[in-house]
Amino acid sequence: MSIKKIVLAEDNSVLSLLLKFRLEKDGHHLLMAKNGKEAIELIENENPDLILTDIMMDYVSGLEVISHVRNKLESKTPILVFSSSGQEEMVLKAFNLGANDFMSKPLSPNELSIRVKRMLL
Amino acid sequence: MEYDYIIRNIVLVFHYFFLVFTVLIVGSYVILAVFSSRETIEYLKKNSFVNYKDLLTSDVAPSISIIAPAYNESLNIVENVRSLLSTHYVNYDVIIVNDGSKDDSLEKLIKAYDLERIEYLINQRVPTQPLRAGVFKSKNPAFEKLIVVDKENGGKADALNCGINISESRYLACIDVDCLLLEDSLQRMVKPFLEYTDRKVIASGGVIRIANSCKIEDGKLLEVNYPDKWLERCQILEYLRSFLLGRMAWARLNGLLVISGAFGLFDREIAIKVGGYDTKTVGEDMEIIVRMRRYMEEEKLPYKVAYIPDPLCWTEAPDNRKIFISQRNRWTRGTIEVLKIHKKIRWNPNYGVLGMLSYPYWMIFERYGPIVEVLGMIYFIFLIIYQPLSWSFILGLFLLVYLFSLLFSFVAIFTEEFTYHQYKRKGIGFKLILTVFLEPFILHPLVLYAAMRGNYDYYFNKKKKWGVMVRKGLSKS
Amino acid sequence: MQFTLFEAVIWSLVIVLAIIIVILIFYLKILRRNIRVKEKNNIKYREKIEKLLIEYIYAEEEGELLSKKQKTIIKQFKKGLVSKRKRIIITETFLQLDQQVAGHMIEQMNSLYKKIGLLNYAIKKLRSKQWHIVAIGIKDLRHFKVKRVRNSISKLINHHREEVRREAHLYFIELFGFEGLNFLDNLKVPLSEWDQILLLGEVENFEYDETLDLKKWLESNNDYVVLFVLNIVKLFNRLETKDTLIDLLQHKNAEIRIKTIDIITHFEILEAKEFIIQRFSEISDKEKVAFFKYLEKVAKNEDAMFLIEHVNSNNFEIKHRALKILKRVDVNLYNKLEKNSEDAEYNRIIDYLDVSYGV
Repeated sequence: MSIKKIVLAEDNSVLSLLLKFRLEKDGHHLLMAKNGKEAIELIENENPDLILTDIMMDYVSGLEVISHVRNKLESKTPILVFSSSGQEEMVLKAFNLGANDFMSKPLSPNELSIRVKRMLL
Repeated sequence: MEYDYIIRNIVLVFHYFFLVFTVLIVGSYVILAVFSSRETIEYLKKNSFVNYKDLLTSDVAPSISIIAPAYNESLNIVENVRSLLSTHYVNYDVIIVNDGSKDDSLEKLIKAYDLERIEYLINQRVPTQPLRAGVFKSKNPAFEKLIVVDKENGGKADALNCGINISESRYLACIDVDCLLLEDSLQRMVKPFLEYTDRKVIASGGVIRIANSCKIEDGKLLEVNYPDKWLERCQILEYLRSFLLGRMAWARLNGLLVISGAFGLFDREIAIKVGGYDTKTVGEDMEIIVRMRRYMEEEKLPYKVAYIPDPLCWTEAPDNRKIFISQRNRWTRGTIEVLKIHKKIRWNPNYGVLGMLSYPYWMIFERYGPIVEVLGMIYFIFLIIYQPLSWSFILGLFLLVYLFSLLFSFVAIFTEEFTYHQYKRKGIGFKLILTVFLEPFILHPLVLYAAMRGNYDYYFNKKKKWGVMVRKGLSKS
Repeated sequence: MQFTLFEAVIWSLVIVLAIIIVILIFYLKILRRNIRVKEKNNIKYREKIEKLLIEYIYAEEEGELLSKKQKTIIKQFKKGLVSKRKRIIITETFLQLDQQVAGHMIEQMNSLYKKIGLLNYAIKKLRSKQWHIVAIGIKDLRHFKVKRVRNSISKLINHHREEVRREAHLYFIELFGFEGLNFLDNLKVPLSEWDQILLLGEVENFEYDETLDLKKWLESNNDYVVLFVLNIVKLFNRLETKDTLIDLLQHKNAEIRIKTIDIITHFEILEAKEFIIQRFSEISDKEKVAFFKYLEKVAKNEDAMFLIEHVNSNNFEIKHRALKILKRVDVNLYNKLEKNSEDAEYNRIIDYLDVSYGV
C-alpha cells in the first residue's frame, strides 16, 4: 500500500498541527497550507491523493480552491471541506462546486481519520 | 508722531491676532490629542476580547452592500474586485458601478467573473444618470455576491447613488474601488451600529492607511513597507496625525464632520431620506455626513457618527506633486462648498455640537487656516523689511512653532506604535524620525499652495471638477 | 522691555521642547526595538506551546491517569504561567484549539486547563477593578466551561458595563443552556443587537427545551426581551406561539410589530391576513411593505381586489409587489390592467414583470 499524499489547507495553526499529527500517525504524508493560495500551489506541484480544506480562509477561500481544482485543473481528486457551524450555505456551494464530503467544526480528529481512510480507498 | 503711533497699534493688533490664532490652534491640537488618546484606549479595551468571527455565522447579522464606483480603472479592476469579494462577512454583496468608463473595465470583469446581463428592477429612490450596458451578475456561484452596474457617466456621487438604488441592504459601505479592505473590516465597522440602544448610529468611518510600497498580491496585504519617496512618507505621517489624533477626538465629542470617501459605512435608510449624495459638489463625502447629521438634529433624534481606529482600509496616495496638489485643491474646494451649502448651522444652537463646535472649528481652522497662515507669512516678511525686529525673536518664534509641530507628529507616531504598530521593519524608526523633521518643509508648503489654488479656483475657475488620478497599480513588491 | 521678556519665554520654551524631542527620539528607538524583540519571542514561544499541547493530547496512555510525558509537559506549562505575556499566549493557544475540536479531546483540554492552574488566574480576573479584565475573565471561564464559579458570575448579570453583562449572559447560556435564559425574567436593561447576535449564536447550539415558556417573555415589559425572544421563536420554529404573535401585531413598539410580521411571513400564518388588511390604512409604511412581503407568500385569488387597490400606490415597493402578486394569483385580472399609465415607475414595473417572467 503506497503512502498517500494529503494537502491540508487550514489557517488555524494549532488545529493544523493537531490534524497533521493524527493523520501522520495513520501513515499519510501531509502537505500543509495556511491559506487557499498556498493550497493551490501545493496541489498543482504535488498532485495529492486527497485535499482537505477549510472553507473560510483569508487569501483565496476554500470555495475557490475547489473551483480551481475542478474547473481549471479538471481534476477528480477527492475533496473534503471543513466548515464552522452555521455556514450551511457555504457547504451547499462547496458541494455544487464539486466537493465530495464535509465535516462541520468542532470536529473530531478520530472521525476525520476514518473518513480520510474511506476516501482514499 | 501720530503716524508712528497708528502704525505701532496696527502692528500690535496684527501681532495679537496671529498670536491668538496660533495659541488657539495649538491649544485645540492639544485638546484633540488628549480626547483622541482616551477614545482610542477605550476602543481598544472594549474590543480587545471581541471575537468578530461570531458575526460571521449569525443569521441575524445585518446586510451590508459594498458600493464601489469605478471610472477607467481597467488596469486593476479585476484584482480589486477579487479583494472585495474575499471579505469575511456572511451577509453582504459587492456592487461595482462602472461610471461610463471609456476603457475595457466592463469587458475585463465579464470575462474574469463569468458575468451575464440580467433584468433588474431598480427602485429609483435617488435620481441618477441612466444605465448603459445594464446590470450584470455572475453565472458562477463562487461569485454570487457580485453585482456590476454599467451606467452613463455622472461622477462619483452619481455612481454611489446608483449603488444606493440597487442595494437592498441595511447598511452601505461606500468605498473607493482600489481600496484594499482587511477581511474583518465589515464586522468591525458595523459593530457600533449594533451596540447602541439609546441612539442611532448613522455612519461610521475608518482610518485610511497608505498602501504605497506595501506588498500586495491577489488583493491581499502581505507586507507593510515604508515608501522611499518623501512625498509619500510625509503623507503617511499626516494621515496618522489627522486620523489617530484628530478624528478619534471628534468622534468622542460626537462632532465628526468628515468620513473619508475612501471608506465609510452608512445607514441606508437615512442616506436615502436625505436624498443620497450631492452630485453638484466635489466634497460629496463630507457633504452627505453634514446633511445626515443635520437631518438627525432637525428631527431631534439622538445619534452618533462613530469612528474605528483599526487599520482596515489601505489605499494608494498620490506619489507626485501634481496629483497631490490637485487632490488637496479638490479637498479645499470641497470644504468651501460644503461650508457654504450648510451655513445655516453655523453658530446655531439648534444644531448642538455640529453647529456650535464642529462647523466653526472647520471654518476657522480648516477653511481659513491656510489663508491666515499665508497672510501671517506675508505680514512677517513685511515686518522684517520695515521694522527692526530682533532676529532672536523671529528665530525663537519660528523654532517654537516648528518644535510644537514636531511634538504633535511624535505624539501621533507614539500613538501608532502603542496601538497598531504597523511599520515593524527595522530601520523604519529612523526614517519616521527623519520624516517628522522634514515634513513641515516638504509637505506643508504644498498643502498651503494647493489650498491657495483651491480658493482661487473656487472663486474664479468654475470649470474644475474631480481631476484625474492616474492609476499605478496596487500590486507593487 | 516687554519684548525681551517675551523672547526669554519663547527661548525657554524652545529649549524645553528641544530636550523633550531628543528624549522622544531615543525613546522611540528603544520602544520599537523592544516591540520587535517581544514579537519574535512571542512567535517562538507560541510554536513551542502549540507543539507541547498536541504532544500532551497524544501522550495519553491507557489505564493511567497521567502518563510520565504528560506530567513533564504540565510542569512546563506551569513554568510559563508565571509570566503574564506567556500566560496570554498559553490561554490563546488553548482557546484556538478548544473551539475547533469535539469529543474526548475537549475533556482532556479542560482538565489540563485546571491542572496547570490557568483556572485560578481566570477567577482572579473576576475580582479586578478594571471592567475589561473582568469581562476577559468571564470569557475565559466560559470557554473552559467552568461551572463552579456560577454564583460569582450571577452577580455580574446586571453590571453597569454592557460588555461585562454580555459576557455574563453568554456564560449562563453556553454552560446552562436554556435554563440560563432565565435571566430574561428580570432583565431591566436593554439588549443591543450585538448582544442578541452573540446570545443567539450560543442558543442555537442547543436542543430546544419544550418546557420553556416563551409566551411569558413575549409579554414582557422589556421590549428588548420581546425582540430577542421573537428571534428565538423564528430560530426554533415555535409555531405554538401563534396567538401571541397575532397579539403582538398591535404592540406599541413599531420595531416589534415589523419583526412580528417578518415571523408570520416565515411561518406563513394565514390568520393574520384579514387582521392586518382591516387595519391596513392605519399602519406605518414600513409595516405595509413588510405586509406585502407576507402577502407574496400567502396571497390567494381572493386577495386580488385588495391588490388592485394598491397597484398605484406612491410607494414603489408596494406597487411592485402588488403587481407581482396579482400576476401570480389572478393573471387574467392582471392582463386587463392598463399597460401604459402616466406613472413611469408603474410602466417600468409592468415591463420588468413581463420580460423577466420565467427567468
